[in-house]
Formats: sequence, structure tokens, C-alpha cells
Amino acid sequence: MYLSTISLIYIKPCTTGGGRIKFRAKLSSPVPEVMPYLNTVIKTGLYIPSAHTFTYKIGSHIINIHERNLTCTQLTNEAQCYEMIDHIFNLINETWENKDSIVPNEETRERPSAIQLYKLLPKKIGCKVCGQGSCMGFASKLILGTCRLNECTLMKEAEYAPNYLSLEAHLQLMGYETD
Amino acid sequence: MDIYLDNAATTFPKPLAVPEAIYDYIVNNGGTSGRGSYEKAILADGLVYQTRKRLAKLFNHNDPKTVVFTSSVTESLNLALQGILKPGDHVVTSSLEHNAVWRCLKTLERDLGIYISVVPATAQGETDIRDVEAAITPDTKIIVFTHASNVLGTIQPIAEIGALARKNNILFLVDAAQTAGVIPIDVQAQNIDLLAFTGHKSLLGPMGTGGLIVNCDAEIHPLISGGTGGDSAYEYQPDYYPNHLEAGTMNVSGIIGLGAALAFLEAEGLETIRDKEDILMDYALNALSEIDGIEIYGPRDSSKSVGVIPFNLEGHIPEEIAFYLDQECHVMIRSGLHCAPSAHRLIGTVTRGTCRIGIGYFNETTHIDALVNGLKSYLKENN
Repeated sequence: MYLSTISLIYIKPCTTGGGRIKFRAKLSSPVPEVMPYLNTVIKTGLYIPSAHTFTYKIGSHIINIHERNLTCTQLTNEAQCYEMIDHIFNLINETWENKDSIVPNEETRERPSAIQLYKLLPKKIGCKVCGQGSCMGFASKLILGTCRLNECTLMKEAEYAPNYLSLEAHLQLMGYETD
Repeated sequence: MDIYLDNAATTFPKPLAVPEAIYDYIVNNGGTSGRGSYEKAILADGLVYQTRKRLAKLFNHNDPKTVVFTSSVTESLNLALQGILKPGDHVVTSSLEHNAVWRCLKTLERDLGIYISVVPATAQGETDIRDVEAAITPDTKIIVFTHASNVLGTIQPIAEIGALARKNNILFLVDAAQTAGVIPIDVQAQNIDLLAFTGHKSLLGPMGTGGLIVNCDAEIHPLISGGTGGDSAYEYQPDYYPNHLEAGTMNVSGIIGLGAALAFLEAEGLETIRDKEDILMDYALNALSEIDGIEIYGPRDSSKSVGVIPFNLEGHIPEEIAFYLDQECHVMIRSGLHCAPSAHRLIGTVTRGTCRIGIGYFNETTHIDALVNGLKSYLKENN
């Protein structure tokens, strides 16, 4: 067995509300060497080798696996967190167990572009509340992971709520924290 | 040495791992499930979830989230019956029910206007599936049956009733107080929609633990409302499980103890436990039948019964026999009606009651010998 445990260490409300929670959990061993295999098994996942992250979606839940920990979003309660942990635990261990029959995949599937993110931002001229010169600049930094979405306070306003959800999903899929 | 033969009331002793797990949790953790943002509380949460998982596995239920914890099987039965039944609903039940079901149904009959049909049974406590079928009406909402009588021990034809209920689109609620942990239960194969269980009998856990397995989509109105740890701004009980039916701080220490008991059961194996109890049951039936003037009730057959033997000694009061055994022989048995008068009506003992021994996994044949010797000396002194 590759992992002996995945321990839940942190539960907090999701930023998008709706009574949903997210969690962070510790992995008993680092998992970067499993990621190329996970990338083959989960065909819609996003693997970023340089960052040692593998991210995928189950329904509305975004699961972001890092080297030694993972996060998962949009859960209803603690019982569902543990159910999800069991699922991820089995996925990682079974993938590793079957690695001889899996061709590892090092590629990074297509990531969203800065333009795609820019289109979802408020594009308010001269705002600069995020500290960047323009929304395009902010989008470029979001892609690189050097800015966080919560630095744009306008996005918290109700009129941007649908765009916020899309942006958050894009960024979480790339393995970034948004708040 | 004290000899405990009242395992149908509660099992004793418990596996040592049970108090050890409770002690370890209280001394070294102490966090409350679902209420803390720190690792220890989350660890407590994890232990509660592990117990849900073990219970789901034991009963072949596919979703640990719908394993709802309660304080007792009585609460579980009340939750299911009070939470589902509406005025005008009809309920089919057995002739062997414990007051946990019977008083609940009678109260709903009086206060809500439900209708009850009681399926007849033989004096041995056996139910004919055709009688269950005959009791069904177009308004039948729930069939509620004990899995095994706490008075006679008789195991009921749960799988057949489950198939009948499913065919007629009726909810099937099973009271597994006497069977969970000793008789295999498969909620999927046996078409059990709602399974009420207690932790402190054959599951070998502590008192104050119990639960309801919800293996159906029926809307169950919560018995109580209150804090669930999450979604606190919402002003009503959430609709997702298990929180929908669990409010207030949980019995985390008890549930952790129950988890340790379930681990013990998994390691021993239900078959091993059942085999040992059957051997003791056969041994006891043989030994008791040699006593002059004894009347043994129930099926007198370990394959048809859980480890319960009700009996009377002709011309003697059950309470006096139990008192003598306790004070003179240090043998603990139960006397009276065992909270199930309807089962006593079947055997004609509703005014008098019976003595009852309840055999458990930690009993030995020497305990039965002590009981039989005690009964013989009681007769010698009182005849």
C-alpha cells in the first residue's frame, strides 16, 4: 500500500458559500511519483509536473492533490469529507498497485489562458484595487499563481458571482488557492 | 464468582478494547465531533465516521452517511415511526414487539390516528408470511417487525417479509435489538428499508449508543432539531444525512467505544459468535429440561432462536427464583415481562411473567451448570 493514511486536518466554509465546506488533508507519504499514473487513470485531470500538483473534478468537487497534502471543495458535511478521503485513498493506492499496467503520462493537459480568465474579470478601467495595472495584468498573474483571486475585491460583489464561480473553478483546477 | 446470564438485556462483560478506546478518547482527545476547527476534533470526527463505516459494512449498507446515530434502539424506532407516519396510515406489526415499538405505535394510534394490524404468531413465536400478506391494506405505510423476540428468542422471517414489503411498495422497518452482532443482517438482500439497532447488546458496545440505517428515500421528519456543527445560519434542520436526523453534541465517547466493539466483532467473526452461542443454547436447553416442574417457552431450538430461554418453575414466582439465584448463587437472570407484554400473551404468562436467561458470547458451559445447580437447590429449599 502506497499510502497508509490520509488524515483530515482542516475544514472550513467554501468561499462561494451555499453552506458548502472544503477540507485539507495530510498524506502519509509524498505522492509526486504517483501523479503521472493518476494523469493516465483520470483522463480529465490536470497534472502540472513542475508544481507537483494533480487536480481533477468529481461532480462539483475539485480535488487538488499536492506533494504531501490535498484539498477538496464543495462538500456538505464531515461525513462526506471522510467518504471523499476514502475515495481518494483508494484511487492513489490502487493506481500505484496497478502501475505496471499503466503507461505514465507526463503531459499537462490544456490549461486556461490568461485571456479566458481576463474575460471573466470586472475589466473596470483604472481600478487597480488588486495592485495590478489592469485586469489583463491580474489575469496573467493569476495564471502564474503569483496573485490570488481574493485580491480583486470587486469579484466578491453579487453581480460578478457567476463569473467568480467559473474563475474559482479554473484556478482550483490549476491547483491554486483562491482565498 | 458472579455469573451474568442477562445478555438479552445488555451484554456483559464487554471486550476490553471498548473501555480502553473510550478511556483513550476521553483522556487523550476529548474533542467534539463536527464542532471543532482543530486536528483533535477532526480526529474525533474521523473516529465517528469509522464507526459509521463499520456499521454499514456489518449490515451490507452502501452509504455510511445514512447510518444515523441515536442514543438507543428505542429512539431509532421512534424516529422512524414518528418521523414517517401520518394520520390515516396503516402499520403491520408482529405479535412479539417490545414496548419500544408497541407503545410508540399505540401512542401514534391515539394521538395521530394511525391504524395497526397485528400479525398472529404461534405459542413458539413463529410468524407465517401468509398472515403478514393478509394484513396488508392499500393504506399500509410501514411493516415493522422485531428480528427476534426478546422474550421467546424466535427469529422472524425477515427476508420473506422484506421481499413482500418491496413487492407491495411498503417500507420495512426491522428492530434488530436482539440480533445485530449475532445474526447476519443484509439490508440490501433482505430488502430492509430501515434498520434500528442498539450498540450495547450483541454489538458489545456501551449503553447510550444505537442507530438507524436509512436504506430508502422516505422523508423522515427529525425527532429533534438543533446544532449540527455546520450550515449554522440556516434556520432549520439540514436535509442531508446524517445531520438531517442528528442534532446536538453526539455521544462521541460511546460511538468510539462502539467502533472498538465492532472491530472486535469483525476479528472474531459473526459465525464464530453465533456458533458458540448456539452450542451454549443447546447445552442450556438440555440441562434445564432435566429440572422437575420446569416449563420452557419458545422454539427450544437454537437454529430458530437467539440466545434467550424463558422458563417458569411450576408453582413458583419468577421474581423469587431470580432473587434466590442472585443472592444465594450469584447467578444473574431476568424475571418479569421484559417490556414485551404481547409476547407473554402468546404463552399465557402476561400476568405472571417468566424467568429468562440471555446467553452471550462470554458465557461458558460452567455458567449454565451454576444456573441449573442453583435452580435445583432453590427447589430443594422451597418445595
